[in-house]
Amino acid sequence: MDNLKLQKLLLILIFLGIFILFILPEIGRPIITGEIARIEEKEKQTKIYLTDKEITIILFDSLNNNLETGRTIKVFGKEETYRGQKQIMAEKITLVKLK
Amino acid sequence: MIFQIIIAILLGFLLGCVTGLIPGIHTNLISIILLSLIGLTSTQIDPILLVALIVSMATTHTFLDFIPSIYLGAPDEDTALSVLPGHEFLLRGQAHEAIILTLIGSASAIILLLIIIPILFIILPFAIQYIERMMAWILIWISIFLVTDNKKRAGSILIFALAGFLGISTLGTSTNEPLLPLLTGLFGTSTILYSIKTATKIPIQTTKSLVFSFKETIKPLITTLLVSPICSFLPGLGSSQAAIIGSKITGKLDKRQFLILLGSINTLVLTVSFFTLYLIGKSRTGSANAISQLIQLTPSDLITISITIISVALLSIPLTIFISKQISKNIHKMNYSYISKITILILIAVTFIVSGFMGLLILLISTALGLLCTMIGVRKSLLMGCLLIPTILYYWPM
Repeated sequence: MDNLKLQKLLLILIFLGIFILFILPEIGRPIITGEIARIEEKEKQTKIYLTDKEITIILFDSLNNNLETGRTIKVFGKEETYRGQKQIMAEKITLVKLK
Repeated sequence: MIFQIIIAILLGFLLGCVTGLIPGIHTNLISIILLSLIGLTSTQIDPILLVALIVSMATTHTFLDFIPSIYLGAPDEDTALSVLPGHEFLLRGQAHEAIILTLIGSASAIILLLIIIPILFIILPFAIQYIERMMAWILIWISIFLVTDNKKRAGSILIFALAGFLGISTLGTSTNEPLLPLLTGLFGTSTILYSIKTATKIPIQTTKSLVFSFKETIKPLITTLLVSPICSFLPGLGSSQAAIIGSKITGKLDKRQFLILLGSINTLVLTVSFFTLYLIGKSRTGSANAISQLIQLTPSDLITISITIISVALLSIPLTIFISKQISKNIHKMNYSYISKITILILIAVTFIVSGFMGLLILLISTALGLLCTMIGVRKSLLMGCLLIPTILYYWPM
């Protein structure tokens, strides 16, 4: 393959790649990121409140042992409004950094 | 306590040898792993021991990291510009000389550090507020400078812009350590792939004593004094960019002087960053950032840091000469293409382990961009647009 053809091919790959990188995070982007202010554990669900955020995070899965007050988390899932209050039905919660 | 600090310094020195010699393993990565381990363990470790370890590792790294860069063409972001002059020395059978030149620079940087620190203590705390307000404009000026410094303007603009878009998109993903695949691809795998493509044959290397005059070092060292303090707290700027800006300020440097300049800036930018962390609370390098998460630095910690830097430099110089000599004696016997392929495999494996599939995707795109940059024939420093453009956007006054 001559150099010019290879350069064109690389250019296409780069454009396509950058486009994919811009699109992908929209699919897997966390709904919210913040520091845990309080955790309320009930029988079937866990509510997590974040510092300086008015939204409540609802988790029906078992709580990750690493999640505790003061830790920064990324929350993936669906945003909903319940009785006029915004809440996130969390599908996945990941720690941003260890304290 | 002194005994424990010595152990920490020696451990850091060993880790610095690993990160410096193995392509793709950066001190930032080890620092992150270290911080994570500390977060997981309940054992109480005196933070100053970890500080000594990180400073020792990072300083050692700056002495040794030119070895993979010059012999294998596998640099990190700080040694990226050494690939071309270093590769020329390698093809002339003088790679060891190139290493010694970077060592002269790194060793001189330790002396320059003693000159710079008192000046920084006086100026920096007052100047930083003005610099921060002007940050976006300073970085825009540097970007324009980097782009217009190339003869092929259209190609330069294209590469710089693409690198910027790639940086923005990469940093927008939730990838773990996104800079690892980004910079590895732009400066590492792309360079190695290109050397495989051009079927590089390595001649027998000489390890004779280097002849150089003190006069030869003055110009690069003055340049280092001028630009390193600025680049040690300006985000988005690596040692390579500092070297280009510096060489423009003080006039043309030959290849030997340029290698001395790269060595001195590489070490000085890192070591100064520990002091700027203390003075203004900003951490420009990954190692200083790791320290900022461990401890609030005090004047006595700075003394420990200074002693660590000096003692590790004394250990690193003979070790680098020894390793370089051994490689020089044997590299012509080795199958260079085979070594290059192994190096690429290591880089891919490290990327996958640290950053996962998304990391591999970033690595693929950044490698393509690095290759395109080389094929178009514009400076690889333009690829630092991947950090400069996102940083300009971050500091842009809204």
